[in-house]
Parts: sequence; C-alpha cells; structure tokens
Amino acid sequence: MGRSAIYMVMGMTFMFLFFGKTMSDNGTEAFSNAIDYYESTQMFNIAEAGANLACNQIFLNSSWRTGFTNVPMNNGTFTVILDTVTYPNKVYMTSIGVYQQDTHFVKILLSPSSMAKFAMYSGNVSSAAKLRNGDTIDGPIHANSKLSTQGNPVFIGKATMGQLQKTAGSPTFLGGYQENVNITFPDYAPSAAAIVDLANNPGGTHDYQNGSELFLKFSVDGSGVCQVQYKLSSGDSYGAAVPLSTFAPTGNIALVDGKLHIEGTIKGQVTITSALSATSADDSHGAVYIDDNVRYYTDPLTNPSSTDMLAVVAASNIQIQKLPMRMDGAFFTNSSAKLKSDLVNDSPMKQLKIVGSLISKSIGSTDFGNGASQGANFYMKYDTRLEGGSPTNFPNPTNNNSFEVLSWFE
Amino acid sequence: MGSQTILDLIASTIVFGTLTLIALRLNGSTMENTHAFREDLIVQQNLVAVSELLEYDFRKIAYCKDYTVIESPTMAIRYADTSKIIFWTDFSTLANPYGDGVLDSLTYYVGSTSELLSTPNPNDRLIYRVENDATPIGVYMGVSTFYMQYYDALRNQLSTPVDSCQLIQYMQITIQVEHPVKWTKFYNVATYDTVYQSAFWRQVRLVAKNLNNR
Repeated sequence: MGRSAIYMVMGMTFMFLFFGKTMSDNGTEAFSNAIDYYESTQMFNIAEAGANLACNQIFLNSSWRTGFTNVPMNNGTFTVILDTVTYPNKVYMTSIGVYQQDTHFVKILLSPSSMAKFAMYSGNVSSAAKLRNGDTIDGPIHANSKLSTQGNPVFIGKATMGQLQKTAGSPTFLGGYQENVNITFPDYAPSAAAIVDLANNPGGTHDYQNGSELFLKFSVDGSGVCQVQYKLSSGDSYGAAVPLSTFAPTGNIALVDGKLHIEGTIKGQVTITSALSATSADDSHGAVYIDDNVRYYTDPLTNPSSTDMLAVVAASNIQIQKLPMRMDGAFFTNSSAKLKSDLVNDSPMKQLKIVGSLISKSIGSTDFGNGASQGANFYMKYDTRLEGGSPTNFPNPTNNNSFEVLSWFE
Repeated sequence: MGSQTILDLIASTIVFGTLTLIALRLNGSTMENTHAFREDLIVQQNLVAVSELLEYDFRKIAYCKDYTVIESPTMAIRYADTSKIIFWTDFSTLANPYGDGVLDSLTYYVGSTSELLSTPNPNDRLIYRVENDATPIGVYMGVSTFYMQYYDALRNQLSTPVDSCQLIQYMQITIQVEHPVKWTKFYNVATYDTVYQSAFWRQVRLVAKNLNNR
C-alpha cells in the first residue's frame, strides 16, 4: 500500500470524525430538546398528581392536614404541604413535584365550602315561578330542578340548572349557563344544631329562646356599637337596647320551635337560626319573618372591606313582609322564601334587593308574584366576601364539609 | 517512460479522481445532512419554546393571586377567535413568582403572512404576545399555524369568534412551526416537491383550572 493510500485513509477518517461529531452533537441536542420538554411535562404532571391526591384526601376527610412527603411518582417524587396560617380559615396547599433535580410548584387556595357560594339557589322550582323582565341576578345562581324564565331577565354570573325553561323573550346569561347540573339541597340540621348549641351557652341577654315568638331589632348607636332590642309579641314595645356583644356573646342567636322576626342595621357578625326540635315546620315553627330592611352598617358594595356579616338559617319559610325591601346577608330556608301573601299582588312591581345569598329548598308558583307584572322585581347582588369566608355554621353543600378552590396556580 | 508506466499513471489518475469525487460527494452529503439536522433541530426547539410558553400562560387564564379581584372567573376570557385570544391573568414577576395580585390582560395572536415577505417561506408569521396595553411586538418563531378551537361544558365546539366567551370550558390549540428556507433533502414523498421542515404540536384539551373554579 502506498503512501497516498494512507493519506487517503487518514483524510477520510478525519472527515468522518469531524462530521460524525457534528452530527452526533445535533442528535444529542435534538434528544436533549425532546428530553427537556418531557422532563418539564413530567415534573408538572407529578406536581399536579400530588395536588390532586391531596385534594382528594381533603375531600374524603375535611380535617386532613397531614400532607405528603417525598411520595414516589413516575420516577420522581412529590411533596404536599398544607398551610392554614397564611390565610386564616383557609387551606393553602403547595405541591412540589421533583423530577431529575427539577422542581415544579402547584399552589392552591382552598376555602371551606358553603351554600353561600351562590347568590341564589333553589332546589325545587315551580314551572310558574319565573324570573322575568327587570329581574337581575348578579352572582352565581343554581336552580336544581329548573330555571324558569319569561321575558328578558339578566344573569350576570354563572348560571347552572337542571333544565332551562324559557317562556318567550330571551334571558341574558352574561356568565354563561350550564344545564344538567345537579347540586342537591343539603341537610340544614347540623348547621342549625351547631348554632343552637353556641347560642345556648351560658351568658347572653336573650340569645336563646324556646318556643313562642321573638322580634329582633338591630341598630348601631352614635358610638358605632351594634345594639339589639327584642320583644316577644308584636303588640309589645321593644325593650332597652343591649350591645350585640352582651346580647349574644358568641354571635349566635337561636329560636327553637318558634316564629322569628328580624329587622334593622347590623354591625359585626351575627348568625341567627329559627330551628326545630320536635315540632313540624310551618309558619309558626321554624319560620323567619323579615319585617323591614336588614342592612349592614358598612355596605360591602361600596366598601368591600366591610366585616359585617349576617347569616340566617330557617327550618321553615323565610317570609318578606314589605316591598320594596333590601336584605343584606346570607339567608337559608329549609322550605320556601316568599312574599307576604298580600304583596304578591303588588302592582306595579317593587324591588326586592338582596345583597348576599338566598338559598331556598323550593320556590312556589306565586311565592314572589302573581303573574308577570305583580309582586317583586329581583335584584340579587352577590356579596363576594362570601366566596372566601362564609358565615359560621352556614349549611355546607355536602355532608363531608368540602372545600372550594379559590385559586389554582400551576 | 514506457507504455506500461503511462497506463499506470492513467489508471492511478482515474482511481484517484474517482476517490476524490467520492470524498467530495460524501463531504457534500454529510454537510447537507448536518445542516438539515441542525435546521430541523431549530424548528423543534422553536416549537417546544412556543408550546411551553402557551401552556404556561393558558393554564393561568382567570388566575389571580388575589382571588377576590376576579369576581366571575368564567368571564376571564374577553375575546376568543381561531387565531386570537384575550384573557385576564396575573403575571409572575421575580419578586412575586406566583403573581402580584393585580389583574393583567394578555393577548395572543398571529400576524399575517405579509409581515414576513422577506423569508422564502410564504406561510410563516409573527406571533404576538401582548401584556396589558404594551405595544405589540411580534416574535419570529417560524409559526405557520396558530389555531384555536373552543368547547363548552358539554364539549360542543363553539363557533368563532365566540360570542359568549363565558361558555368556554376547554380549548384545543394547534401550532405548526416551519423553517423559513426549504432544504432539498426534505420533500413530499407523493409529489417529490420539496417542503419546509416543520414540526406540529396540538394540545387536544387544555383546561384552565381557574376558569370554572367558582
């Protein structure tokens, strides 16, 4: 073999080595590119899996705060930390997915669920109980059986329902709507029992009563202290005003097997129930009557930092005694919410403005008006403070005290 | 110099010439392959960069560190068309990696092909990512297709542009990235026409968790 042949072999070898390396580098980079995407997807999925598993644990056991530590998952690990300090009364979950030394964080803020997540909820709605022209529901609404409309009511928040039943006109759903959604009406009894227990604690002026009738009138005095007056019969005069903190030190007021009347301006946080023990629910047992406006001292619509909060849990009907009316608070009835019988024929219609939440087991055909032009015009304005902090012992939509996702960072 | 020597010289010249031609051809092919692979790699890297960015941003539709700022998350998508979307989100910053609690608007859209007449590829476009009311600045990533479809809760496809963005529950995102220049190595096996190197990515069902959490 001559010298030329050796040069040829050396030249070719050099060339192959050069191109071989370049091509190998390309191949490595292409592989690395694919692997990078795969790894980022993997660590994301692992962190998501940790978050989902932790959410499931909380769903199964609402008091679960243990978290997870270095749980193997798909050749990586995840750790879940539950923090209840950063956000009071909420759970701040951090899921950390680790894959090949890379980490991904998923952060979720959970808040105890409550029926007060709806501006308006109705379990069983009569076909004739329609929302009509001039009615505005500004917040989430759910009608479990059907949402019945006539004309052009406006729904500003998300609307869900078993079925949408339209009679003429076209309702406006600015927040979208979804049919075939089933959210069953919850058992109110545990909530009412908890409120009764708290109200029945020693202390307090008259925060617990068994039977008969109880009239409560709230007001705020010149020095900004919430005062409560009460009487036991409509013919009586209200007694002396007592500071709310003295009247009901726990912030809970309960009437059992009686007929409760509420009106006035509230400052601070109050939870009121009209509950039942052995009697059956009717207009005299477990019912709540809203005799006049029920307002917050600091209006959350103009001042979102308002800390005033009212919750009313009724075993029987909640009856509105006058129109127009404004009711601030979260109202729950295990029966119907309705107008006083002579108000359903009011014409022209007058406004019923509820700032907060109205949860009723059912709505009858003429509960809020007799026909298309009589009774009440609804203006429901959801109090967004209820999303992140529902009133104490307001009924939960599930039996296991589930949570709601407020924000999910991934 | 005898005739045998001359024959040897001719034969060796032919052999050397042949070997040289082989070497040159080999060199050319290898270089072409190397560059083709390199350009293919760039296309794939662009695709990964675009898809990762889109996934990151789109998963944060309706997210805000301060949840009270978004009263109705379902209304976070403000405009939705096949090639353009505008939505509310909360940008991460170095100081606030999980958002600053202030609502931000993010717009994604692709420009027209006429914006990139300087490239041989007639299909490529600029992709725009506009934060709040900043001046739109297109980025060249070789995107030739940026196509979005929207679905409601019952997985019915919504017509575009979507009239009621609050109905959107799922999205399908399709992206194709192409190289600006044709490489002869790549051709359509049916027509033998040369084609632009391309990479395709589709997120079949993207759910922004915050969109429907309340």
